Amino acid sequence: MLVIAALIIVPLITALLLLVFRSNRARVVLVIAAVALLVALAFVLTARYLFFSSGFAVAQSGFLSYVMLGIDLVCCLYILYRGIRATNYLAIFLAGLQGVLALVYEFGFSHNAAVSIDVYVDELSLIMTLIIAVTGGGICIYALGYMQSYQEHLEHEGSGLAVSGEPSRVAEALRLVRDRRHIFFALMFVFLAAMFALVFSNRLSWLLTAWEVTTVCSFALIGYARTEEATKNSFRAVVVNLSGGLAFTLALIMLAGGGTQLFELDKLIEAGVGGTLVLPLMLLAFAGMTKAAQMPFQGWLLGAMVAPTPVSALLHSSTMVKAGVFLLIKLAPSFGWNIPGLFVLIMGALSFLGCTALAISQSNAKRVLAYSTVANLGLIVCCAGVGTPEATWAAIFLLIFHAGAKALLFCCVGTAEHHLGSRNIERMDNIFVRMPWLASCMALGMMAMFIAPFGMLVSKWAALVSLIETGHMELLFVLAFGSALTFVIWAKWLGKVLAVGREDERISTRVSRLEMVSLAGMAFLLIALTLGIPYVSELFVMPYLWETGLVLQLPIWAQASEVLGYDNLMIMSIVFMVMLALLVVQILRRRPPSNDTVYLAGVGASSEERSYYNAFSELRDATQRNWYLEQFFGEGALLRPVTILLSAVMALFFILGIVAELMPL
Amino acid sequence: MSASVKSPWVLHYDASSCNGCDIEVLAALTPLYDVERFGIINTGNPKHADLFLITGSVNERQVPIIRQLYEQMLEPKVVIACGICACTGGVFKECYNTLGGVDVAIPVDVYAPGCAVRPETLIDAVVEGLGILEEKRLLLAAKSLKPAELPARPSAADKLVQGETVAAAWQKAIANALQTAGQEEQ
Amino acid sequence: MTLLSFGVALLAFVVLGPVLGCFLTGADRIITARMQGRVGPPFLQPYYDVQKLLAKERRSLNSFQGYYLILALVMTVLSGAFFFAGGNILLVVFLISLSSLLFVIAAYSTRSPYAEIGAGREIIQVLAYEPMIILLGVFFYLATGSFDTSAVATLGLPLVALLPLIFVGLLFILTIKLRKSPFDLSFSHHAHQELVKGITTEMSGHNLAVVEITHWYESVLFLGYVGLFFVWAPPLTLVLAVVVGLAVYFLEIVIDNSFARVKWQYMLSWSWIVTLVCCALSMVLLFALYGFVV
Repeated sequence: MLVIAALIIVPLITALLLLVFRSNRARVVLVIAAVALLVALAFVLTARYLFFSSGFAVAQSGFLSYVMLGIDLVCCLYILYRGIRATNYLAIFLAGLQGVLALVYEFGFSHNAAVSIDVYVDELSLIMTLIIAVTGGGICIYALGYMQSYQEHLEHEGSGLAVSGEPSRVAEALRLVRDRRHIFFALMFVFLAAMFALVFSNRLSWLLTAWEVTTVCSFALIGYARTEEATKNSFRAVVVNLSGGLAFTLALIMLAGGGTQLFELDKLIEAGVGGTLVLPLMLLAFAGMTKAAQMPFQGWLLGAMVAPTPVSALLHSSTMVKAGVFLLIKLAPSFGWNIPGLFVLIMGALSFLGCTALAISQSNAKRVLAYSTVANLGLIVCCAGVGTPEATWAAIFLLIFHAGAKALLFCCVGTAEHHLGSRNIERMDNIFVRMPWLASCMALGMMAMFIAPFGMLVSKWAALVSLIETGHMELLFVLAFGSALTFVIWAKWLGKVLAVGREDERISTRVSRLEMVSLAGMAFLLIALTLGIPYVSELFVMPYLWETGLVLQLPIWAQASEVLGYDNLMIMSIVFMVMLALLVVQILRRRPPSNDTVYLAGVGASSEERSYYNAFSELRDATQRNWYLEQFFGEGALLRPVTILLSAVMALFFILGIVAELMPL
Repeated sequence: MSASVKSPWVLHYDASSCNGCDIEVLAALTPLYDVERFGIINTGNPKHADLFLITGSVNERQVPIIRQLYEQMLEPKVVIACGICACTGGVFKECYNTLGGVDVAIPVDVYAPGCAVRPETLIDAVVEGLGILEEKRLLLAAKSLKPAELPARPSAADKLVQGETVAAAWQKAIANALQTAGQEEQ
Repeated sequence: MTLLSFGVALLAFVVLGPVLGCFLTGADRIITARMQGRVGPPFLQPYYDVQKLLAKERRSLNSFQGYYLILALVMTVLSGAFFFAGGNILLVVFLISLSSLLFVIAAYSTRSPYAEIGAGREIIQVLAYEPMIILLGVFFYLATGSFDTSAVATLGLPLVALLPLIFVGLLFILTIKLRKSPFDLSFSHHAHQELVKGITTEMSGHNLAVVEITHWYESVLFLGYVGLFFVWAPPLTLVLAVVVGLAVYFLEIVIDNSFARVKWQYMLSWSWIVTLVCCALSMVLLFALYGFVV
């Protein structure tokens, strides 16, 4: 219990300290110390849970509920304030309504309710804790280096503006340039604290508070740059997430009122398995989907890229979107062949297919990553909707490896962007020669996203098997075509990143040491995770399924066996070892530099520049662009029909849900 | 005979030919002559090719191109000048814009005369070139030998006397030299 | 699949795979020549080609290309070994797509515009055939109740009787996988002048030899897929599978010589249409004829 409390309080105290000590040195020391402490705490918790105790649940109550309500209200007030300043009526309305409903819920239902367990730990929350502490912490360290160059860049640009312009523009420039990094880092740590609270809360009202805090933190971080675009996109994000929060609150009120009287997550899941809940589950699923940026809500996550890269990394890997899928995975036992289950499953599957296809047409690296996040979360959501232990296994594996790979990828892209001056994939041509280590990390992250023997593919494989076994034939098509599309997205980018040209021309570009250390750490973690696939399954994922089965008295869950078989997991691990071994041989076997040149029809001038002499003896560059297949997969061709389709499906399911609620069979 | 001789892949380059020879080169690939019988394939890529077939006389602009294509071919490689223009410059020899035959740009191994060169001549030239290709392969294999250890290439007169081809005789000599060098190392 | 059976299959595939692949390619070249009214090269020509390539000077643009290609070869060999050892069919599929990816990266690694065009086309080819290959694994499970290829040995009737349309779909994408016209977009053994031989443009000498050997292994593996549809409980059916595999290879040669290369749009849309139609109808057939219920 102490460890859990520490996990939530340490980042909060760090955030406060960061606000007080604003110097660069102090910040570096504080952040590194806090991250080290958090990682240590996460491991202590894991060790205690795995080896000494079979699970502990602690009752706490009293004034903590007031604190939580207070935090929730502060969140609403903050959004109200920002909404009024920006005259965004939708945000004002939603935040106001949210505040009122939260008060209604607390004092109308929840406050005097008898809650036996407030805080809990199980393997899933342990997995989440490790992800949050390790990748989230890694991103915070990375941000130390990144924000340094970000600020320098900003000041450089600002001075340009100040020189050029009239007084109003100078003022604008000064406003944008002001060093607010202390706020930035404080928000990052509050975010982590909220995530920790989210994965441990069993009392639904506390869960809601944590949920709202993540919304507000993401809002503030997306709008960090304070440009017009950043503000606009931050409001877009907050509106979507507030509507999700509203759905969450409504679900809680429905659960608390009526005959059900549910105030705890475990009781909720238990009731859900019984099949009596329809609309509340759908509302919770809706909340999860908005947070996980499922189509048709993907817009906010794509817009969130105006924020500095560590924010994107944090949102996409260990926090925010993972909160959405975490909730859905928790609820997985209650899904299956029922209305909420099918709702979740179909929305997730279509998001997966739609966003994978959309990602093909993108040349902006961060947009590709964002679409791929939505797609992979779609797969997680879909697996949660299937509601079998095998599918849940796949969902959790997807969650783990997606977090690891995406954090690494976003950080790599951020660093590359600073050094290349562009996020365009086409500009990453030759990055392997300029920054070999960065390119290798990036390639590792990309391969981890889609190909054997890495975790994402293993989870996709498990998803495929579990879909067959549950008879979701239509989804098998989705998965088969989706996998092929995924190959295209990554293969062409990977090719650009790994283009070596002539290696004797290597020019290294200096990358900030903090950035490099955290990138190397994340890459190492990913390698370790891939090698340890069988153990991750054995130590964390399978016990979670069994325990869920025991608690809910579901024999299928309690007796679930490894979906792919232990031997297949071992094979994947061995294949990866073969790849690594050959890579070591390759690196150790240094050959003399070659004097070979690229074939350019006999008129090549330089292999590095890929230039040639044309028919007029003029020097020209041979350029080669990747395939983006816009006519098939472009946003213009796909975005509108897919959005309409998904909105229609969602509306249909909610009508079904309401009908089912009103007229129980 | 080694496999090099059984699978000569061809790169065909038109320097500034009237296209007469080019048509004959392509004719050699048709069913009538069917040079694939000898494993010959027209690749169009210097990185894959063993034989460099050039037609036409060479002018100032051609020289760097021919050199680059030649450099991009992997050893062992053989250059065959196809047609009289490629051999010497032909009727264009004295033109103000002509430098001469292919040998002004790169070393030529076989000269195949004719205007236009006949497919039979071409096939003859390729067969001749294969012998040289084999010799060059041996030289490549003998790269580890010091220049002093390398046996001299037998002359054509020896060939007549001993009743074997120059290439075969040389191959034996180089194999012997490699063996002795290996023994000395041990 | 036990460790022993895997070991035996690995050894057998490593040794026999390239021999068979070489023979197949040699026969292909002679048959193709005869169809064009030529005599054609010797039967062992592919072997001579590879031997020559290995004897060439060791030079390449960068050393990574060789690493990717060797790794692609290793992955193909591994997947073939899993396949013939009776292993998991999806594992085979995933290892083969890893091999394709490595091949693509090998081409990209040189930064040659020609090789990049080939690599792009190879990616489109993967996009075209991958859904069918994955769904083949799925239908295999639906028909046999197992993902292990060894499960065919327990069947009372051949897989082709259960899944005739899946077999048709496999034949369609086999043309892509064996690099035959009209779907030989990224590189072929015939349209030599086209874009300086696509994805292999910058692969020379021993690297090209590795590509060739990988292709031999792949050909055998994919004919193994064809044979899988004709093996059932009696052991003699293995002979039938070999015969059908050879017949299908002949059919592919005929197709190769009767069609010109098509545009990628055509290849992509037709592969997907064939995949969708074959798989959807198979689902109906499987349900209607054999009343399978999951």
